[in-house]
Amino acid sequence: MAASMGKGGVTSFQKKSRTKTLQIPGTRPSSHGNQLLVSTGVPSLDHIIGGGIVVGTVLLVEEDSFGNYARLLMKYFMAEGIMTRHPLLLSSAELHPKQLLRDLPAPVSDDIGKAALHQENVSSEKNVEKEATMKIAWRYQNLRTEQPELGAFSQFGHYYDLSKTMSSEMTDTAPSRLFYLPDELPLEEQGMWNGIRNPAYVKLLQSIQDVVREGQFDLTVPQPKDMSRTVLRIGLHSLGSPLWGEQDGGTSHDTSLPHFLHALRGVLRTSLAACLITIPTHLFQDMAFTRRLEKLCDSVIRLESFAGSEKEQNPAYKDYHGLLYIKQLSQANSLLSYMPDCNDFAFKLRRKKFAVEKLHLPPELQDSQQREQDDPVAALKTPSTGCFSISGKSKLDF
Amino acid sequence: MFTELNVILGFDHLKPPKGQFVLISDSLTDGSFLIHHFLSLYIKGGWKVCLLALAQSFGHYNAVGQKLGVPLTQAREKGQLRFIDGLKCSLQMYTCAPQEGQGENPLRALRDKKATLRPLYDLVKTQICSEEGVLEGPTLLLVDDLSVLVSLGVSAKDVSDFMHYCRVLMCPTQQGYCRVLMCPTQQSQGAIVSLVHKDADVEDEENSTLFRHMAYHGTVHLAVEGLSSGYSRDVHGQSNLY
Repeated sequence: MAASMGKGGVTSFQKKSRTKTLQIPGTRPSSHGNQLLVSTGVPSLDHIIGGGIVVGTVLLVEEDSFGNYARLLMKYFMAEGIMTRHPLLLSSAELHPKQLLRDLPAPVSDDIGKAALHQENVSSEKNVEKEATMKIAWRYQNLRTEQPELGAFSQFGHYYDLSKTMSSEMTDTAPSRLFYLPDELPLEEQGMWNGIRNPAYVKLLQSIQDVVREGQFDLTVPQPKDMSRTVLRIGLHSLGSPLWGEQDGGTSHDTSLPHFLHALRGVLRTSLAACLITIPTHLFQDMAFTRRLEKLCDSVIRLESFAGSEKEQNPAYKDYHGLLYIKQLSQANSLLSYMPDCNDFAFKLRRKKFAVEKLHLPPELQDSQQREQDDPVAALKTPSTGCFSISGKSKLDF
Repeated sequence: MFTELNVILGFDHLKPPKGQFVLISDSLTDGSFLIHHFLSLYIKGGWKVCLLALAQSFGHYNAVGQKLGVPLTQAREKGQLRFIDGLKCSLQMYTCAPQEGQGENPLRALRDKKATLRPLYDLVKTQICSEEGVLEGPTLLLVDDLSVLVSLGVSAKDVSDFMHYCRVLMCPTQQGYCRVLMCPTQQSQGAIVSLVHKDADVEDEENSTLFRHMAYHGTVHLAVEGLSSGYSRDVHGQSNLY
């Protein structure tokens, strides 16, 4: 961006462009370092993990007991990919990926409206009409109203309405590669494998590599300069479930899934791709195995839903549907990961929206308090959270 | 990078000491910032560095190195930094067919249960030694990190053997019995820094065994852990020095 005055150039003040960051619609550079981020589709979740998923890394979502909210996050991720015109790769063993794609949340209508507006080539008369009414903010009258130049698909993070489904024309025309395990690998090969490698994971990794190579997402291969690049979104739903052939419920001696994750990291670090994996870690018997998987992924969050547990009756949690724990945040290309303010988050699923918020504990719940040791609120208070009054509840959802 | 740490350890930032086996262990947090610290310390000190990177790609170290003022790409071109890309080898091992392509890969042990980490040791040796098999000048071997090898299925015993061989290569005058094998007047020219994960809340037997072996071999142990009072944004954790 050069601010040089005229041809003669009295000042040649130029902003030093330190890194050649790629300009890809639907992504934005991280404020934390020179990394590119893509949105998960849920703006409040983006905010707490440091802006979004870093391109080239893996976000691991440890599923809740019934898998509903993890599936919802996967749908948001895919819907965001369709809105930003990022190609998708979706894999699943239980649910056919097509079914998952058929049920994506619809974007909120004024996002579509913006896209339509751009296509009609907005004339300047509309600008003049708006400007004439400015009486208080008259200083802004001379500024050009911001027009989305590239349309809604270059925007980072969209808003979705869960009560409606995305139109099938949008999902059908989106470039996507679906990996449905029973189709890709016949059942005979899936069964008992006594080698070190699970053939299902190998097949999955090979198809990921193929897509990266064919779609030209590989950063090691030089591309012509004028080619517009985009980011591949990889969604691996419910990896590591028994349908993938995970034997013995994942004990420490099973190295197939860790090796898959390690090899996947090798692929992702040199490609323009971001990956969201959901793993039902509550099925694994060994915590050490789960910890190893977490270390091999870059960012990890865990969902814990209240459905069916005794926490559902807890009055402190009455507004929420579950808790969200951030276990690890991406450290790729930087010395430190993003440090959030606190680590107590809860999520709620309203009729139209899924949102993640800071868990605020009201100081007093009701007049008839129970004894101190039974008080659920006091039990939940941790040294790092202060006392927030209900009126000062800050909402992170937009 | 961390001058206070250097002072406490007794390492001079202009002339890093030889013959040290530094073990970094982290519990519930990430100790890889210390890897970057030692990497920048030794490259600035003019040492030859062999980085065995199993956890991150070269781009990661380069990006952090640029911020710390250590140009790793130039060091790599000049030959001061030898980079062994563990991610690439692991990916190759995972996707190649069982018969072909296994010949040259140093991580053959990941597919073949009978193989050890000997090929990896040979690769390290060829990278840093001259033709006679002797270290030329002060050299550092940086391993990031050993717990990945355990997660990928290599037994703690094999990893321990590999590190033992590396230690004999890099710091030969560590233990008394080594004098029988090597020339007694040889000064130890090298140093090793390695990272092991040791999470306190999880019972991981292989990792604990590996950690105990490494702690036995090591001269300096830096333990990094989170604060005992819980999560805090400004203070990331504490570290102990043994």
